[in-house]
Formats: sequence, C-alpha cells, structure tokens
Amino acid sequence: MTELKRSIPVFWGLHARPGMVFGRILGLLPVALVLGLYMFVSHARHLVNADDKLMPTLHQMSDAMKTIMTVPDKRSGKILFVEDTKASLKRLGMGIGIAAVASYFIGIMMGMFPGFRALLGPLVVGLSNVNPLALLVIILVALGVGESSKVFLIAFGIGIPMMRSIAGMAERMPNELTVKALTLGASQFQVLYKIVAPQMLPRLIDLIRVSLGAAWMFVLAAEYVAATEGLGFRINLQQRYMNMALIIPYVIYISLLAYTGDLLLQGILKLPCFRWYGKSED
Amino acid sequence: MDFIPRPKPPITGNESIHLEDAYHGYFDLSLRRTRTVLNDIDLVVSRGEFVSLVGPSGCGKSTLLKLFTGQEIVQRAKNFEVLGLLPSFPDRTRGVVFQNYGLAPHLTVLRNILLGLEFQASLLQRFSPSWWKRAKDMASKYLDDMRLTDASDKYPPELSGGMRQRVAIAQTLITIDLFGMPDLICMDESYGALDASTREDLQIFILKLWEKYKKTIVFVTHNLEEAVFLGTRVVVLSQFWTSDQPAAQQEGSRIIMDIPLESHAMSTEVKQTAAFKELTKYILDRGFNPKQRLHVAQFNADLRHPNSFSSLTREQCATAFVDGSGATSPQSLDGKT
Repeated sequence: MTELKRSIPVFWGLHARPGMVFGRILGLLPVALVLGLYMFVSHARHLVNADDKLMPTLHQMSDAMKTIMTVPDKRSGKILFVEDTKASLKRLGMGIGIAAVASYFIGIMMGMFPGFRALLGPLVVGLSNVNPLALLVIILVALGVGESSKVFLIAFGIGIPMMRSIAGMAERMPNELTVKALTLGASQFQVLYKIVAPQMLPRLIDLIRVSLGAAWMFVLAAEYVAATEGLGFRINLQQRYMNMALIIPYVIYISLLAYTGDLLLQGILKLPCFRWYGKSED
Repeated sequence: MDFIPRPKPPITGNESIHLEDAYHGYFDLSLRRTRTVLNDIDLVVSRGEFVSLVGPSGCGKSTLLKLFTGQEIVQRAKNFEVLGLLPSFPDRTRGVVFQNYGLAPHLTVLRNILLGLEFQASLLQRFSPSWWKRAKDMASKYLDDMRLTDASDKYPPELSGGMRQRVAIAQTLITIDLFGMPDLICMDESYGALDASTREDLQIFILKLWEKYKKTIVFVTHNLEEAVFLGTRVVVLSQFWTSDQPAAQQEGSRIIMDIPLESHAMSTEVKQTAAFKELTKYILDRGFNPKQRLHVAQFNADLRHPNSFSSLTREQCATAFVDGSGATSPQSLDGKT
C-alpha cells in the first residue's frame, strides 16, 4: 500500500493551514516585533540622554505604576489608581445603562408602532447625526462640570444610534410573527413583551458591544475637558509633565478594561438562554 | 337567449366567508397606478367547509387569504363578511399557518406550542396549576402526534423545515382544543416545505382534525393533488382568462373554477384512482394554461359548487351573446343550444 500524501502549505495561499502552535507563534511575531523595536529605540535614546521622557523603559513604566497603585495620594490619602478606575467605570456604567434602557424601550416602541415611529423618527434620525463631541461644550454649560454632564455625553452619544438600530431591527422583524401571535390570541401588549422584546435583548447586548469603543471615547473626552479624577483626567494631567512612564501603562490599562468589557458581554450572549440567538433562520 | 349569471346562493348567516364583487390591488411603482390582483371575486364558504385554493403562481392566492385574516383590507367589495363580521385586524377567531416564520425563535418547541394558551389563559387559569397541567398534557399529546417529542426542548432555528411546520400547525390547533378558537383556519402553503411522507402524514392529520372539530379551513397550496385530496371543494383562482372588456379591465385573477369534491376516504390511496387523476388533469388543463385562456362566460361550466356564483355584466360577455358562435359561446358549453 502506498501512502497518499499531499503537501499542504502552512502559510501561503488559500489552502494554507497554519495549525494551532504555528498559528499562535505567527500571531505573537508582530507583537514581539513592535515590543522589541520600542525597547531597542528607548534604550538607544536613554544612552544619548539619560533623562529622556518620551520613550520610558519598561522598568520606568512599572515603577510609575507601582507608585500610583500603592502609594496613597498626599492630599486625599487615597490610592489614585483605584479612584481613577472607579470614577471612569462609574461614568461608563451609568452612561451605558441609561443608553441601553432608553434605546431598548423607545427603540422597540418605534419599531413596532408606526405612529410612534412617525412621531419620534425624524427627531432620532436628526439627533443621531449630531456629533456628541461637538455638543460637549453645550452639555458642560447646560449640565455643569459634575458627573451628570459626563454620563449624559455617553448616554447621548451611544444611546441615540442604538435606539435607531433597535427600532430598525424591530421593524424588520417578519410581519408573520406578529400576525401569528395575534391569531393565537395575543394582545398588542403581549406581542410586544412576549415576542418582540425577548428577541431584541441579545441584539441590544450586541449593540452595546459595538458601542463600547465609542463609550470609552466619550468618557475620556469628557474627563480630558472637565474632571478631578478618572483615567482620562490622569492622562491629561500627566501630559503636562510629559510623564510618559505613566501615560503609556494607563493607555494599555484602558485597552485591557475595554477588552474585558467586551469579553463579559460576549459571555452573557453565550448563556444558555440565548442559545437560539445567532443561528440562521433558514 | 340571455346569458344568466350564476345566482348568488341564499345567505343564511351561517357562512364563514361571504365575499362579493371584491377588487383588490397594489400600487405598482413602474406602472404608476394600482395594478389589480383580484378582479371581481365572488366567494361564499359555509361553516365547516374545507376549501382548497389553488392557482398558477402569482395569481394572488395569498393576497386573498390575507383579506380573510385581516392582514390586508379589501379595496372595493359589495359585501365582505368573515365569520359574520367585516374582518378586522388579525385576532384569535381566525387562525393562520404560514409556510415560513410564525414560530417565535426565542422559545423552545414546547413553549411555542403553549404560546396560544399563554396568550389566552384567563387570570384564573394563569394561576391554576391544574389548568397548566392540563395544558402541558395537551401539548405533549401534540408533540407526540407531530413526532416532535425529542425536539421539545429545541429552538426553532435548530429544527428542519418539516419539523418547524409541524410546530406551527400544532400551535394553531391546540387552541381549538382548549378554547374552541379559531373558527376559520387559513393555511398559506403550509405544507410547501415538507417532504412527501411527512406531507401525507400531515394531510391525514389535518383531515382528522377537520372531521373532529368541523372548523372552516381555507387551504392554499400549489400542489393540485393535495388540493383535490384534502378539500370538500377546490377553488381555482387564475389570471389566465379573457372577457369582452378592454384589456385594462382584464387584469388580475378571477375564480374560474369551483368544484365540489367527494367526501374524504382518509386514505392517500385515492390519489392513485383514475377519477382522481382525471380531475386533477382537468383542472390543470383549464385553470393553469396561460395559452388557452377561458372566456368569463365559459366559467359557469366549472363553477359547479352549490355555493359558487358569478356576477357577470353584459359588457363582459358581449360577443358570447351577440353572435353565439365559436368556442366562447356559453350556450354550447351548457349544452342548451
């Protein structure tokens, strides 16, 4: 018996199969390259000028982080890293929460009731084209520099587009589904909360996932402009001292937080009660 | 010599559907005018009839059904009553089984079947464990009948087309058992997606149910054999006809045949008999042939059901009366000349 063999490329072409191990190595390659390049350039710059602030070494960065994570602030006596995280996550959470609840309920109403759609449609479409960052100054003037203006910026910035999406998805739901429910004896209210709303829930979670990036952007923007604590505020503050040793780890930390949020939402969608979601209809 | 349109049957008030001189259409953007889909439809269906509605594709079978369920509002009609009322928006008096959709994708098969009960349960029933037990027993009986027991915890997107269809049918039928509703069941190509053997099983199943509850069923299908096998009456809606009116008024479909059928044998063997095959072939030749359009005056020969009628005007059959010659003469068709 001769063994039939066909060579399968590991990297090039449509038929390539990199495999588990080699695939991982491939993925790490560019990451290592960027990291190595940074370390090399940073080292070179420090050889020329020992006080170089633009590209701190990994050691300097870890030192800066250690300080902010363990040494209490002289004025408030609190650990700034924890306070920053708490402040930013609270704003983010409240903003996303308000946006989610409002877009879910108003979006479903707009999608299902043509009268409601005619009433609110133009306003929502108009507002979704307003750049929230352009509105920032007006929000600050109107709501002050406190928490409410930051929460409002996030809620407005992601809530209006989410509302539009939910309304569109509810509207595009097969009409047959509604008709069938009505012929089975459902009241209009029952159609809404037994048929439409549960189907919109995982879609809402998906929408939040998509909006997470924008939400983070709005938190940071608001904190840059007016805040006394928060991750964005810290970055903005340290920028005055060119303290890259703290800024760079903060950027990485914010990215990790955003990634964790995405993973959490993905985890919710993997719950057994959403098993039906994402499976093709036909 | 006057051509007598088939008169309207006496209306006793016991009709499920009473539709007279109905016109319906859609606005056609390319034509920039309303395009007629249903042209002068006359249909009376008594309670308990099993009407098979067939016709060439695009003839507006589903549109007609949508008028009955209340999904659409008829544009012009002399008379239109469904279950004694001008049909309002879809409600529990008129059930519907679609070919696709209709299942709630976020509910398991069991929950889908219980959906109608959940909707209609009174406050007392809602909190009564014994009532829910009865409902669940009923649901499991349906699961059993529909061979869905193993799939009861699955979600509709995980099912095959045939299984989904069986769930959709069970959804509607179970409400008859518990609430006696709906009184009219509209089935829109319900069996279109099924394989042959499941199809025959469900044909027998729906017949048994019809025998048991005697609800009116309007069964739209593109399968002529199925239509003739199931119905007590087969109605052919077709856009292939002609009259003596200007072409613009010949748009849309009319009921061109309405044939009463023998009582059901509950066996699919009847499909193999010569008479059965002859009838399906006859309907196919006369109703589905775009090349050989029948004249409106000739319809009477095929409007054989006692409930069928047609309200023709003199203009529509002018030639048929005036010269009385040729194949379009109604007299020769009726054998009275």
